[in-house]
Amino acid sequence: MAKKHPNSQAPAANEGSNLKGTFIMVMILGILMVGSWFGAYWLFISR
Amino acid sequence: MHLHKYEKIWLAFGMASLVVFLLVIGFAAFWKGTHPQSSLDMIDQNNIEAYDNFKPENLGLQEVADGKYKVNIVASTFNYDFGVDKDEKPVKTIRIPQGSTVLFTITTKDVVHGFQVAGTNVNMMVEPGHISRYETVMKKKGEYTIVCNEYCGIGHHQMFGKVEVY
Amino acid sequence: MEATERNLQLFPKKDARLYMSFMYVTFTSLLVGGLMGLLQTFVRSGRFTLPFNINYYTILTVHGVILGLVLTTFFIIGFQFALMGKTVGISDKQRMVGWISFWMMLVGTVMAAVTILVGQANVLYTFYAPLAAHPAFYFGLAFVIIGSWISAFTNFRQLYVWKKAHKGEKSPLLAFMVVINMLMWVIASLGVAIAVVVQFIPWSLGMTDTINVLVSRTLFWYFGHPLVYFWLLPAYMAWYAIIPKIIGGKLFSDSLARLAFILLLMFSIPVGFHHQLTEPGIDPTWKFIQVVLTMMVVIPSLMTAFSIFATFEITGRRKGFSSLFGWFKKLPWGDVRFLAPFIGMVAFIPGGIGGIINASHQMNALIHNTIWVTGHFHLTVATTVILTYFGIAYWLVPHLTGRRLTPQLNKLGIIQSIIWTVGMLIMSTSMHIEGLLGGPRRSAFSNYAGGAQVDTWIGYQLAQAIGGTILFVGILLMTYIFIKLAFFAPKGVEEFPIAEEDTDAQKTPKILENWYLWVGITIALIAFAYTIPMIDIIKHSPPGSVPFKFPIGRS
Repeated sequence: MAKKHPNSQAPAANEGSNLKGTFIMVMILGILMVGSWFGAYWLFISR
Repeated sequence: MHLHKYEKIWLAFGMASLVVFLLVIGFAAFWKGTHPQSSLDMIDQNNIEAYDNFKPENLGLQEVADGKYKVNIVASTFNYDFGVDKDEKPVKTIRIPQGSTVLFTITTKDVVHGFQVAGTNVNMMVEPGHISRYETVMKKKGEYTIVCNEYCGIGHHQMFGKVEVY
Repeated sequence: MEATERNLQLFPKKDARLYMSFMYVTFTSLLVGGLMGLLQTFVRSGRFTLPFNINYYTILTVHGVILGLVLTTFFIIGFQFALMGKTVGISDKQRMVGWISFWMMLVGTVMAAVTILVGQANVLYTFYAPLAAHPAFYFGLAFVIIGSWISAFTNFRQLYVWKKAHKGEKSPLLAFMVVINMLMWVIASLGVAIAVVVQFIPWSLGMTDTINVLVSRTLFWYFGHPLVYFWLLPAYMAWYAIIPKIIGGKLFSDSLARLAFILLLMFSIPVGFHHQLTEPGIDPTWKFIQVVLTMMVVIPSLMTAFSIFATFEITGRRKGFSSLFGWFKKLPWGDVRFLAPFIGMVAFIPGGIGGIINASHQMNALIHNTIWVTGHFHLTVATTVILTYFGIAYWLVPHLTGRRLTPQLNKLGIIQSIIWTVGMLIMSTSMHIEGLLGGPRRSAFSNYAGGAQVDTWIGYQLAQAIGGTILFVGILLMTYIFIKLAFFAPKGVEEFPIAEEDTDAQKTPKILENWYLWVGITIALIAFAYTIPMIDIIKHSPPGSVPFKFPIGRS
């Protein structure tokens, strides 16, 4: 059965939450952002 | 208010990226002079010939120095006036040697137009009463279509020209 | 529980009727505007010409005005009224004022639409001077804008009355968000209202001879960028406060959601120059300052991305999925109320990144007025925003009509979302590529001067026609679903899914509701970003422009 979340009762509700997956997702998004931007910048410079 | 540790890292990363973008384009703009087209020169759109660049004999391509050219253009619905050739026929294609520096100067006699040499960074709005100009180096050989890329009326898509870099 | 009960409590009939009226206009607009979009992609493929001498730019104007201004504004106001009704309530008087707003906007819409359809306003939805449409077009626009203000002030009043009755309590999150969006809308649309009422109407009537073109454009874009945030914020409302409920979770953070909305209010307005980056007559330093402010408006969206993923992860983990991405697999993929907005969220990743590129000062020359821009906003507004609106409609419409989203309709909705995704992927991607290759937007089919470059563009335009056709099938399906939900689905109670806070959530700081402070900062930022360049523009004005009618086919 579901493991009881140990931190859901903590006062700072989300602090103890395991957000590793979230972190990986947003960092992928961030890398996409930086990559695309420099790609476009390179195209601008090369023209 | 409380931020999760990972959210702090994420926001720091995101904001740092934005700062880097701004530094890159800011440096290029203010130190290297690659601002987007922002000419502040004005003109009376009802009397554009009072301005030297737009006298009929000065339209089209002119070599100003070795490897340096200027192109003067008058936009109007639905045409770019690049001057006339030897046979008094309107010029439609501008031929420029590869590697030359070209200054495009353009204004409009009537409504708002666009001026883009597709495939290059020459891309500017052309507005009544204002002069737009952009200087660039034509780095690569090829044929580039000039398009009016701001809607100027029902013949908008018939407003074009061509640049040939040889 | 009280909140759950409220979610299942249907509106009184007279309230629901007002909210539904906005939905009827929304989905009628979808069908009309969508048909125009289909025809445009056909024309641009070069294989099709419009019958009955209809002009390409007439249908392009209809498409932009009906989808960009009418569909969005009607949906937003109807949805927001429903949110206010649910969270803070509506009085008889407020409902009546709501009706006045509705009719005023509808009259304006019909005026503008008829003027366009008879060919007297081929000016596109940006109506740039000195192209001169028939005055009825500008009057129509003015009615739509002023009508929408009436709704805005009704919403302000609704929250004010609730606050008076609930001293010391924080306002309901969704009501807070609605008020932020409407504040932004009123402050921003003042710009376009001034342009229309002070510049365009007298000029088109012949009461003034000339118009200041650059001033009118600057006023338009002062409004034009917050306009896109006005579309986006209702989607954010759903992402923050509705989706968590649908996936069986709680709000991630009430305070962070409010903070994101406050940042959006402050930074969506003083950024209009990033639409005018390649224009003459504006000092490039001021352009750059607004580019910096534009980057600031990215921050609340970065926060939103984190909040959404975190909501998913926390919800999944509470349900017992402990592996790194186990929570992701177990999201309710079969529930269209989740799936459609989720696809919208995904589309906002390339949409948002594209936006950052567009706003990057000199880099704007790469894509300005190319069809890349069209591809960009078909990701942002025509995917992110509209799929979220559809996701809302799947429960809002049956909640208003006292019907249910049946499993069959849910399935059709899922098919609709997939059709939309496929169609948009084809159309938007080919628009982005063609734009980078220099292909222009807002143009009928043309071979231009011919040559290899133009041939490449036409290839991508064919792909756009295929994508456009798929999208139109999606629109037909959506219209069918809407009609079913409005008139034929079985009677019942569909939940109005508003998420709740965790019982142990942190208290929301009071300062987040200090309206004077946030509106004050907003106005100060606008004053900072616009005062000096606006004075410059007015002081260094060329002669004004007379109205030009012949270019748009008016005699």
